Amino acid sequence: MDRHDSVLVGAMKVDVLIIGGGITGCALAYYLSKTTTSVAVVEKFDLNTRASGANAGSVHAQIMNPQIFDGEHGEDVAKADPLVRILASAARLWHDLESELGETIEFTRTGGLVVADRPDQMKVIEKKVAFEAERGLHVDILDRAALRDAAPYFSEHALGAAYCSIEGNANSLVVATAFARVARRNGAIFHTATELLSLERKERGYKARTSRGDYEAQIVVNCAGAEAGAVSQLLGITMPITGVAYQVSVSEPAEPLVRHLVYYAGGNLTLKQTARGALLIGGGWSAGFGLHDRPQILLESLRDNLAICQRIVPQSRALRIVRSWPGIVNHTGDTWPIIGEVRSMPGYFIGAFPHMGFTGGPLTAKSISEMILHGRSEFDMSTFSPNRFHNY
Amino acid sequence: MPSRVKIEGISAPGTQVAFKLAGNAARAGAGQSVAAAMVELCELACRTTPQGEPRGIFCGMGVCQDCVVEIDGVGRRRSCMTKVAEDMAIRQGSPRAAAVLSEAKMASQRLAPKVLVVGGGPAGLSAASVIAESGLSVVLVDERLTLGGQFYKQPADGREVNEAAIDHQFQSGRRLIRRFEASGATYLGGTTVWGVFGATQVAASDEHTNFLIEPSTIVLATGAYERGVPMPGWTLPGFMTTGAMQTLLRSYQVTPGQRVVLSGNGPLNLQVAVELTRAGVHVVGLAELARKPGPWAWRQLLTMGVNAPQLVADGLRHVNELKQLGVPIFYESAVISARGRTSVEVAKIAQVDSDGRPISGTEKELTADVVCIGFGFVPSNEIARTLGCNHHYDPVRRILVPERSETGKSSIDNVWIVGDCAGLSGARSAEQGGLIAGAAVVEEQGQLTQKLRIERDRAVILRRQALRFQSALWSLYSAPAILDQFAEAETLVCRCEAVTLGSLNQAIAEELDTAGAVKRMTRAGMGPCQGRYCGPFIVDLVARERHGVVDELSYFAPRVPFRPQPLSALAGIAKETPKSQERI
Repeated sequence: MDRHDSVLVGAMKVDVLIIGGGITGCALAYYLSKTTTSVAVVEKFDLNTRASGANAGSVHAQIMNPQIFDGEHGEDVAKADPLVRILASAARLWHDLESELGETIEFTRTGGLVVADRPDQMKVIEKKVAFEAERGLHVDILDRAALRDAAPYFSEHALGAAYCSIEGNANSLVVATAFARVARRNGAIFHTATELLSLERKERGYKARTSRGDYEAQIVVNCAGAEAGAVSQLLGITMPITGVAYQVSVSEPAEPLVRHLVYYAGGNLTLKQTARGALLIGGGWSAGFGLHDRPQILLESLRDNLAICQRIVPQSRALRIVRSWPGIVNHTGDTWPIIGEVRSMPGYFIGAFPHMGFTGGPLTAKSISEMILHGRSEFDMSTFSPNRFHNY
Repeated sequence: MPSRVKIEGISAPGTQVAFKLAGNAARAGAGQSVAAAMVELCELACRTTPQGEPRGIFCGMGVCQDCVVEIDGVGRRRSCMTKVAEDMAIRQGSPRAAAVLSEAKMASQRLAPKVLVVGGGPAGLSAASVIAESGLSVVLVDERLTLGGQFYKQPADGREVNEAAIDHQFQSGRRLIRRFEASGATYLGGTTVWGVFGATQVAASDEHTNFLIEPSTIVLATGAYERGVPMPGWTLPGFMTTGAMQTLLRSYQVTPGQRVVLSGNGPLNLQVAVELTRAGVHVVGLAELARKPGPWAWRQLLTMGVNAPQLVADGLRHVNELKQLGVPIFYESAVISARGRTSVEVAKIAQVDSDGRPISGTEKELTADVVCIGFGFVPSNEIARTLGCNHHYDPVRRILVPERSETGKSSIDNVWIVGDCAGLSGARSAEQGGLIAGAAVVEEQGQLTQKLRIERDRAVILRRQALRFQSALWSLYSAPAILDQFAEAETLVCRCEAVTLGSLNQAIAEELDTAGAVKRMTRAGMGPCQGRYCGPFIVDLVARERHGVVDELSYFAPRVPFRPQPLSALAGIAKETPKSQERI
C-alpha cells in the first residue's frame, strides 16, 4: 500500500474521497469497492487508531440506561425514539458481516442483558421494554429465576433483566482493518499518515489538499469521527460534532464466566468476555484530558466503573486488570447520528454516529454507499440528515 | 548440584521457612523471594503459557510477569517480588480459574507528603535524603523488597553482613541507605506505583494497602530495565537477563544454574561473570558485542581512568580474573539462540558483522544451563510519559530522553526526573543527579542551607566526571544495535501474548505503519508486561521498515495500571478515608 514515504505526483483523481480510516471510513470503502466506483481513504494517523480501535466492541441494540424511564427524563425518552430503530438495524447488520467479509472479526451474538438488583429498576425495565416493543425491537424480561438459569454468574442480589437476543460483541481491534483489507483487495486506496489540510468545492466535485498531495473527487465523505466537525468546517459547514473521552478497562484472561453483553440498570456499565477470556469493562465512563490535550484515565471513573462490575458479577473481583485506556468518541449536538448529504454542498456527505459508532459504523457506511450509488438508502436515514441543523 | 552460593561477607540465611511447592513440603532460607526459594530447590519453571510452554524468571525485577505463580490460592503473583513465608502454598503452571483473591480486604490510605520520590536506587535515595534532611516531608515508594535499586541491590533480610568484608558496591549502597534511613523520610517498600492522575494524585499499592498519595512535588527515579533481544529460545526457563542473575546472586545467594553463558554489551556482563566465578559457578563463556579493547581505545580508557580510576581498575581486574580462570571472552560475538526441552541446555554463540548479523560458519554450541543477556537498558518512563513530561528520541541509544533542566526538573513544574530513567547515565551520575534535584526542590522551598549548597556544588562536579566516564564507556563499548538479527520468523517477540516476528513483519508489510496500530492488529504489547520488551522493538522495526521518524508518540501509550492490579483493589481505592485526613 502507499504510505507516508510516497508523495503524490499530481492530483489523485477518484470518484469518492473518504476522510478518516476508522470503522465507518473503512466500511464505506469496502461497500463502494464492490462496485466500479473508485475510492481513496485518507487518514491522518493510521487505520483503526482512534475510537474505532479503542472502544470495547459492544454491538448494542437495546436502551442500556433504563433510568430514563423513571418519569423525570421525558426528553431523553423522546430522543431514544429513532435511536431504537437505527440501533436495531445496525446490530442486525453485524450478524452476517463475518461471512460477508470472509475475514475474522470475532463477532459473537451473545445477546445482551440489562440487569437489575433493585425493585425500582425492574419497574423502569418494564417501561423500557414496552417502549422498545412499540418500535419493533423485541426485548424479553427475565425474572429472577430465569436470569439465574440464563446467567448464573450474577450476584445473588440480581432480581431480573431485560434480554435482547440480537446484541453481541466483536473485536474492535480488527474490524476496521478487516473492512480495509477486503476493500484494498477490491482496489480501494488507503493513504495513512495523510493529514487533510484544506477542502474546497470546485466547479465539478471537490479538491482536497493533504500532507501527501492533492486529491480530486466527485464526492467527499466525512468519516472523521470526533474530528468530523473540524473537517466540515473546512468547507464552511458548521456541524455540532465534538469529541468526548471515555475509558475502558480489560482484565487478564479468565475461564468462561460472563456469557452475555451485560449492562446494569442502576448505573453505567458494559461488560463482556472476549473470545480470549478477558473481561472488557466500560459503559461510557468519562476520561479526562491531560497535558497536550491527551485523554487520560480518571481515577474516579476507573474506581466506580469497576465497583459496579464487581457488584453485578462478584467473581470478577479476583481478576487482575491489565490495562485501562481512554478513547475519544464523537458526540453530536442532539446525540443523534448525522448521516447523509449536505443539501447546500452536493456531493458532500457526513457519516457520524455518536457514542455507539462501533455498532453504527457498518450501517452508516452501507447507507451512505447506497445514497451515493442509488440516491437513497435502504434504511431511512431522513431523521438523521445533516440538514436538520441548518437551512444549508 | 548446590544452588546456594557464598558471597563474601554475607552469611547464609539464619533461619529456614517451611512452605509447600506444588503440594510438596519444601524449605528455603528466610528472606528469599519466592523466585529465589524456587531456585534454591532447583525449580526454574514458573508459569505455563496457554500454548503449554513453561516460563521462568526473566527480568527478576517485576517487569516481565513471566515468573508469576499461584500463591495461597491467588493466581499470577510475581515470584520475584514476593517474599516467601512460612506455610505459603506455591503452585506453578497454568493459572487456575479457581485461584481467587484472599477475602482479606485491602486497606485504603491517603498520604499527602510535600514530596513523593518514586524509586529507591541511588538517584531516589539521594534525592529523598537531602529533601527529608531539610525538614520537608518525604515519602519514598519502591517496588523492590530491599532498598538500593538495581545497582546497589542488597542482601535480602535475615543475613548477617560483615561490613568490612563485602565489596565496595554493597558498601556504597549501604552508605546511601543509612543516610536515607536517618533522614526522616517515610519508606514504603514492596509498594508499586500503578497509576498517576495528573501530577498531584499517585496511586500505589502493596500487598495489604492501597495508597493514594497527593504530593506537591514528585521526583521520579524509576530507573531502567534490560532491553529485550528476541532470539530462538529466549523464553526458556534458564534464559534471563544479566540483572536477574545478579539479583539471585547478590541479594539471595543462589544460582539458577552451574554452567552459565553471558552475552550482550556493556560492563555489567563482565562484572556478573566475575561475581559468578567468585561464587564458584562455572562461567562457560562471555560474548561481548563490542570490539576487544586495545590500543585503539586509548582515548576512551584515558578519559575513563581520569574520571573514575577505581572503576577502570575494577574492569581491568575483572578481565584478568576471567583470563586466569580460563573463562573465554568472545568479542564481536553474541549468543544468537538457546535450546533445551524444558529449560536451557545449549547456547549457540556466533561472531557478528558490523551490522550485528551473525557470521555464518562462526557458530559454536556451548553446553549451558543458564543464558544471561544484557544488551543495554530501556528507561522506565511510564509515569513520566503518563504525566505528559516532554521526551525526545535519542537515535543512538534508541531510547526516549526526558526534557530536563540542569537540576533535573522536567517540562512539568513540580516533577523532577533523575537517574537512569532520565537517560541511562549510570549509577554514579544517578546518585549525584538525585542529590542535585533534591537540593533544587529544597531551594524552591527557600530552605537551602550552606551545607547543602556545598554538597550540591560538589555533586555537580562529581556528576560531570561521571558523565565523562560514562560517555567514554559507551564509546568503548560501541557496538551494532541488535534488533531482529538473531530472531527468526517464528521467534516470539511479545513474550506475553506470544506474537512472532513473522506476524509483526506481516502486519507492517501489509497493512500498518505505526507501532500502536501493529499492537492492535497483532496483540503484541497487550499482555501483563504492557509491551515493556516488545514495545521498543516494534517501534524500531516500524521505523526501519517504514523509514519513519521516531518520537514520543511512536511508542505504545503507557497504560494505567502500570502493573496488573486486582479489580477489587482498583474498585476500592481511596474510598474509606476522606481526603487529607492522614497527613504526614
